[in-house]
Amino acid sequence: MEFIRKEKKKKGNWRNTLFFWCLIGPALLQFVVMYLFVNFNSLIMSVRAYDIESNTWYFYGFKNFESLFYDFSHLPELRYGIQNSFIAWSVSLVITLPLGLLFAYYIAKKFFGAGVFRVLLFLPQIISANILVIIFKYYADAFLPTVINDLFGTKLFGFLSQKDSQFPAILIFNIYIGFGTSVLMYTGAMNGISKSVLEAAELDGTNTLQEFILIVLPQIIGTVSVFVITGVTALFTNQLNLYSIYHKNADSHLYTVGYYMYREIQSASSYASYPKMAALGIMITLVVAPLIICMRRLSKKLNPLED
Amino acid sequence: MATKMKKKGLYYQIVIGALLVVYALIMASLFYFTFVNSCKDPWGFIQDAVGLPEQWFFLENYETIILKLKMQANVKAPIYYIEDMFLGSLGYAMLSAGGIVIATTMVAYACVQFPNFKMSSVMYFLAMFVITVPIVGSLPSEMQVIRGLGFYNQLWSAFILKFTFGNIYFLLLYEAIKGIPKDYKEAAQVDGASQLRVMLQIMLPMVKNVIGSIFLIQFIAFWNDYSTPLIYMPSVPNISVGVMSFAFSTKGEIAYEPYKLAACLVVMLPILAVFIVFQKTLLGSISEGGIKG
Repeated sequence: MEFIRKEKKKKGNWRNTLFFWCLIGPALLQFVVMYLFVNFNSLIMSVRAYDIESNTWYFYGFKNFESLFYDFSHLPELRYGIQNSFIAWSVSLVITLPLGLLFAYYIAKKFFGAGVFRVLLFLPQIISANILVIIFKYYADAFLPTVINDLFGTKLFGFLSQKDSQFPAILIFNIYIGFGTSVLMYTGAMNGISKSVLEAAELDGTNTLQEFILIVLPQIIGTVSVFVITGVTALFTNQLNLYSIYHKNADSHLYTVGYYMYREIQSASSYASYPKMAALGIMITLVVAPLIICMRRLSKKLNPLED
Repeated sequence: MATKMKKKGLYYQIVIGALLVVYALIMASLFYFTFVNSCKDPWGFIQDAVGLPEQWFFLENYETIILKLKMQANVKAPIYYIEDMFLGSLGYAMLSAGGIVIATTMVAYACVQFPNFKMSSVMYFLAMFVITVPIVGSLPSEMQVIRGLGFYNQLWSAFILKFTFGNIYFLLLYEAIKGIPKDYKEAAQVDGASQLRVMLQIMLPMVKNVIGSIFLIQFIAFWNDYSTPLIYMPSVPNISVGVMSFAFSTKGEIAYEPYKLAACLVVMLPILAVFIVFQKTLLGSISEGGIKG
């Protein structure tokens, strides 16, 4: 009897193990090839070069990195790229994030028109970014200047065709379409705050702004930190929709690192330009990864409830 | 007291409400601008991009776009028309969203149901690692691997490329599956149900709302995505890629602004319809930390 029970248990264990591996096997294989191998290959590629004539790879040492360092100081696209990437990140941190929080609080408090504004703020996430960009291009170049000129008697030209106004216009567009998911998440987090806490604050005579800053913000700091950290991850991959606006022809003063990299890969006709881009990718990771780790530690300190 | 309560937040309402009204007005003017100008003839747009058209070309322009919008990756590549592009986008969005949802669900289920297996902890750690430690800029290497494996320019490869579990949805599904009482599973197993049957007929239907919401969010994101198809499968028909190349075209009988704006509205409509139908599910399901069941 004992023997039969053991046999049954063994059979059951074997079946469970097989089932378990069937569940994780395909995803694990994909992870090994498309994550581990891809990143390992990225390391290898960064120290190699490709000979177009003989279609062969050869060892190139750290010359790709040397060449990149040279480009950082001499190539305007990369110089502006780094500068603009940081500007875009700062703007999202200083303008988009606080505005998103203020909007979310307005919606969470169910003030006038909250439901409609919630849908409107989420709409840019539903519509394809490149569709919005096409509309925005004509809107900023043909519609807005005419309306402003008619109203205020100014002599403005297209915002995306004038060098001085191009970058600010692109930043404003990215702020405009950047609220959707974050506002929804913040609203969800705010709705999760205990009513008794808010009622107690009200009895203590706090006004709306005090309630927002002193009660609500500390309670949702975990959700906010997720978006701050995600923002750092996108620091050097954010294209600011430049590819949709200008295709491959953006002026160098508009470049971001993300646009530079995407454009180089997209325009590559052979493997020859890949190694340098792989080296750039590694350098980006080396900058961003420690930043993320520091920010996560900071976020844990600010929010002891976070696991 | 009531007046005091009413007054509370009045200034906040006025200031933030005004900002939101400005936001809404800009959105409304964007739609007004797009629709009105999509109904003009090219000369009408050049003359006046603000006012209503002197003569409406609604049917003519939209019919032209539906019949003549095409996509061609290069001179030798086949020409695809709007129905091919819609089908291509549908396939890409279904396969990609399906890949993510299936992989994430399978791994999350395995980790929850077999906590004693060492690999469960390993998979959980890997998911956390991918989510928290960013490795960016592996695009060149990824391209080389994709070309090497024969995935380049293949629509079906979207499923394999997106068959990933290292994403935020892993955590949501992990928590959702973990929250299902064990009694259901144990009762089914006493009745002789296999592991597969328990998973497909008992456990996963209980988290179908979470799975459905993740699929919907991902479907919309991939339908709108042009950068991945453009770089990994440039010759596969795709409406986002097609409209983008059309937007940059300067040659041809329809390479004018009113047609381009009409194309934008034509592309926007299906996804807006999906949004309107699933609006409550979608907006209601996204809450703190992501999605609730």
